[in-house]
Amino acid sequence: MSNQAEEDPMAKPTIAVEDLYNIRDTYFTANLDEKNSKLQKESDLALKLLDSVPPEQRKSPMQRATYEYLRGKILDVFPDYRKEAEDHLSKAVKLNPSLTDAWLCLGNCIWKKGDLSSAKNCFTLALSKGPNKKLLCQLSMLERKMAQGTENEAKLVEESIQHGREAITLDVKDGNSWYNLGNACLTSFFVTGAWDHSKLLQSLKAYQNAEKDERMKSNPDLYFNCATVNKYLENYERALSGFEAAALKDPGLNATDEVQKLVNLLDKLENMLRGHARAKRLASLVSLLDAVNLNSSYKRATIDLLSEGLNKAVAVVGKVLFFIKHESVAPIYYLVCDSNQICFVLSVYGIHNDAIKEGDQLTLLEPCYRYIDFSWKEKHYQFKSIRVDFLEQALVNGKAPAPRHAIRTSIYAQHKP
Amino acid sequence: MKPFTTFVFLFTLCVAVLPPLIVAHPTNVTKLIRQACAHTAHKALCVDTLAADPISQGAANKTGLALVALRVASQNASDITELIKASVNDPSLAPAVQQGLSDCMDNYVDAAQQLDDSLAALLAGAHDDLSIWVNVAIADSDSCEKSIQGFKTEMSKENVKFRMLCENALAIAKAVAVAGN
Repeated sequence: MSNQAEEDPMAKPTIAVEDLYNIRDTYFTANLDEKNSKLQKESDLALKLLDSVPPEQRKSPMQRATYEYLRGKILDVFPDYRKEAEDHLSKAVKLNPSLTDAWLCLGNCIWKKGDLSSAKNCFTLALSKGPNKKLLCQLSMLERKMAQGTENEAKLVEESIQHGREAITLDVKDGNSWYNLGNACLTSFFVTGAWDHSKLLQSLKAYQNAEKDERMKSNPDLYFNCATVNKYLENYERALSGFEAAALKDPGLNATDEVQKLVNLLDKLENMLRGHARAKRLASLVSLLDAVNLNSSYKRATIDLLSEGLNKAVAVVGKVLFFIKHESVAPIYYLVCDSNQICFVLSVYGIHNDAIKEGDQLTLLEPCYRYIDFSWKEKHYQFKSIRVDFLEQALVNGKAPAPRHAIRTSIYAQHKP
Repeated sequence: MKPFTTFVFLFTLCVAVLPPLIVAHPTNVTKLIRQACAHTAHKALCVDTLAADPISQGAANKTGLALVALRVASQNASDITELIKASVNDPSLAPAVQQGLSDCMDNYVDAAQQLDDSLAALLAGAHDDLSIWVNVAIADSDSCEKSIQGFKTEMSKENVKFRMLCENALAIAKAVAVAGN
């Protein structure tokens, strides 16, 4: 190490900058001011160390480029935009256009300013000099940001996924690249109407690969986003564990609120099921369900006959007892009862909540069935559940819902530049 | 008997009683198999593997052979998982060896899953995805190798063979991507 420092005057400041960014990425407190003051203190020390490099050792264009880059990077460690940081980073890339990391930092700095297209130019320009996983991940993330609210949102998110994949091909063991791909797939799930189950599974798989990288163990967003996917996949126990882990790693992430919301929802589902399983009026409510005619390509079944997962060429007929209000945008939950008077939870994705109302008779085609059975904090949850992912899977009062009932839900995975 | 020796003995026994994965049938080596294996780094293993699989004989193109190669690699991952399962709880093994093998078992469960994903990618014509999943499976095998470093076990041999099967499958799949069949 000392030999390297003697040869390269920028070696020590470079290590100091790495340490500074390590604090930014791994040190979390409930109080943001506390983190910012720690960053301020460490960045002051790093600047002091950088300025201690004798002027004669930063004379050549290459040395000056590195000096400007390190100075800009130190100043850009804070979450807000700093003009001074941009100036130094701009100087660095002018002096040495091959300094990839300087382009990366400059792009991030300009992104904070809100000039997204200029930030994208920085990333693409640097990538024209050769492939780089960090640049590809940032570009992928930026593309998702740029896609928000545009007409061709889904297409832009697909480009983001493509760049995410390219990053992984450069290093299949890099947890950050997998994490980025997981975020891209999760975003894609939402911008394409929040019904494509396979996108959630792709996202989950990417997060699981990210978790194999030891360096990602300190990333609370990974746990939070993975828990989000598990929530939508109705892997409730894993979701709760994930949110709890995220809350422990970063108290400022509001993951504790997510735990509480999910527990509230589960308690509500349990209570409603328990309250209506014994209701005397069930018999009269479901008496007409057996008379419902089914398309000959579907075999009629009640919920107790379903197998776990997708039930091909099967239809379940039920009566909607209640719409269950809760704190998340998706899915929509209903309490439904089949012809055997067995109540279950129906979770609906990609369909407007006015498409299905209390009292409606539902025919669920090729239902995806889950038996939920787990304990959390000494409370046991146990219920039957069917999920409907898109419009064509449900008939309401014998008719297919109108196409206008299909929805797009925009929820974005949490990620930081 | 020392724990390591016991493990090596047990492992060798398991390998001996398993039906052999590779049996060379020179008469079964079709022209297509030779062409496909020409793209691979481990040609002898490739020819033996494909020739031993009855499905290869009826394969009409390289895509069919790529499917077989991936399936063989996936099956190999599952076989390794079973091998480890049979010996991981042997009380005569040192705890560190048991832990290493347990980690390996997790790695190979994952690897088999990744190779199943790569099969799906091949069928969908998603060659970039295929490359990712096969490389992830190889990375899982590398992780296993790290877990057992310093222990004299038969696992290293298994890891090498698995890696070779994956590399061969990837090479054939790449040839398919370039040639389009």
